[in-house]
Amino acid sequence: MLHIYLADTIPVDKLPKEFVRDAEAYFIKADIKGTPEQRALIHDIDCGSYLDNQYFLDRFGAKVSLRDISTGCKVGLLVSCTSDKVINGQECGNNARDSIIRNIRSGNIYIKYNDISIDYPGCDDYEIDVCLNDRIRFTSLDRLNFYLDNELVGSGDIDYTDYPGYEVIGHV
Amino acid sequence: MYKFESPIGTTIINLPNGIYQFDFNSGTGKTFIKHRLQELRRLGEPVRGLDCYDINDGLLDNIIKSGEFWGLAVLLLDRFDMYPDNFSETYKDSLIKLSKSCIILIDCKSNERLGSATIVRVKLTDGGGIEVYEHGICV
Repeated sequence: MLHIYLADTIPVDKLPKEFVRDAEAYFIKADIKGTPEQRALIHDIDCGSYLDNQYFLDRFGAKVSLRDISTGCKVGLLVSCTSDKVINGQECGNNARDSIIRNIRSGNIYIKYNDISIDYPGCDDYEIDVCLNDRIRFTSLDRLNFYLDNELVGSGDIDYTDYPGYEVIGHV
Repeated sequence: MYKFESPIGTTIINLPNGIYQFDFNSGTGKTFIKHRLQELRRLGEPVRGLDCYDINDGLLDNIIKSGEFWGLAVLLLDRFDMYPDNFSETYKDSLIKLSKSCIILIDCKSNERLGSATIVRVKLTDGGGIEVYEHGICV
């Protein structure tokens, strides 16, 4: 599952894995293989398409080095291929954050929630696999949005226990 | 407004002087603009595109000390979220003063770091053209 750590609730020195603060700098270590989730990130965030482990096609069809892809997309790509580190996602734009949460099924990211709900295509709920702060697992994006908007403030406990799409799995 | 025409694409910063913040999305072309400004600067244009590495290396201090700062027409501060915590405190007065005669564009995803600013968007065209234009006010 994708582990999300929220900046306002967990300080960097309490993260369970090594923290990568500068995704741009660390991207030189990224091992991009063109997995379906990596292709989805490039499509969603940069409106591009994966070509190989060095290049992608940008929105105009030009062949561009992956080193020149957006910082938000680099964060997503790093999260998708670096399971032993927590990647700093505070430079992600909203579209990058949303794509990471929708698409990535394994990895770790540190973000700051900005009170803007996580978006998804269509109007039905969206299936995710997200663990927040190593404490609550969400399988529904609607449920995660509801939690972030209504229950996170305060103790961070689940108040609306009848609203499905979550599982309490631990304590920080 | 700042405009520079070239075969690799026209660069238009379609804004009056002031401080602006890019909208909160990734992949819109902000770093591309920074690279374009760096290219134009090498041609002698009064523009600068700086990122967090430049700031940490003291480049902004050098630009201010040399006097180049006060003649800039466009200044882009890329990846502002990664700037030192004391950046705003240190440079706030200088940037506000500069904004009377310069278009200052800031890539910052956190409202808490920047406060309120006019939001701008980027339009890229197939031929390498760039336009930055006003989108709205963010409070």
